[in-house]
Amino acid sequence: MTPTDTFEQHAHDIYAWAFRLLGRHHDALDVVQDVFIRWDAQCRAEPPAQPRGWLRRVTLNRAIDSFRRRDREPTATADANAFVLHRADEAEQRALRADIAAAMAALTEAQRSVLIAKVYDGLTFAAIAAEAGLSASTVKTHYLRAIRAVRDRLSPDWAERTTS
Amino acid sequence: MNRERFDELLAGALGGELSDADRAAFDAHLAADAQARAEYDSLQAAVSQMQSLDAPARVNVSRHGDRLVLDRAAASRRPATFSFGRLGIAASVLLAFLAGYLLHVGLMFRDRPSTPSSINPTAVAVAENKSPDLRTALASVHAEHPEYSDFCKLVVAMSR
Repeated sequence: MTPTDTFEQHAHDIYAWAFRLLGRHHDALDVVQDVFIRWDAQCRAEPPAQPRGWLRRVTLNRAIDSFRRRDREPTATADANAFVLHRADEAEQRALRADIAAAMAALTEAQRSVLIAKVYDGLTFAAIAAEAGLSASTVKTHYLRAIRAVRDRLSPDWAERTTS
Repeated sequence: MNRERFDELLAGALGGELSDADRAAFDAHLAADAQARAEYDSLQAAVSQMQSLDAPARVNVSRHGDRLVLDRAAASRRPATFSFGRLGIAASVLLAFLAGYLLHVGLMFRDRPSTPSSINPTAVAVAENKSPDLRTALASVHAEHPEYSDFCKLVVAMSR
């Protein structure tokens, strides 16, 4: 199986992981393109032992980078004479996605990868551990820390309530 | 329960991977410790919020030579949805009423002898196509057997 064959098998998941964080089709595609280039280079140097784990980790890293850039820079295609109206539910989704992405940006690579694998891919702790080369106990620790970080971002008053 | 043990069970609970014994121990701890309960609830809410995000549309991945092409065109087609408009709701109510009415009529006849001897001979004659005067026959049935009144009215209405 060639590197392209392997990438093809996971392409939809790579797109899905990026889309979960970024929420925009073309931003997700940009990440897929970026990951493909890195995957090709990695396979020429040393093919990863766990392709899916490698691809998930790198995809999330690239997606977080894209999110941070978007956060800092004005939208390149913004038209001063145009304004897109969003429904309330769309605006809520965008805000929630941005909060989750911001929380994940503060996580370590391993925590981020475990969180996505558990919440969106539905893998067991054992499967994640096998993929990442970690113990199940470590995976659970990463998972709990990641969820707490997301919770603290989504409910900033949580810490105040528990310490008061 | 020490912190380390609680965190282990907490991760398992949030990940849906607790054994029955561990689940029982975890639930007992939550019942006894309000702060632990609050933490579990807050973390479960965070997981639910993450899962509430719209899933990405399926992209089709195809090969063109040695190139991969991702295509969202087919996936963007929304599945057919069916929703009740006001007309559909009205039709549903009417059908429900009709079904209930027919059930009522059926139940009325259920406990009655089905032999023609319990019916007015005029109505029997109508049923046997011997008398053209349906309304007279039915009126007679109505007078002598008021329990069939609703059925008679329905038949009269249908005959108009």
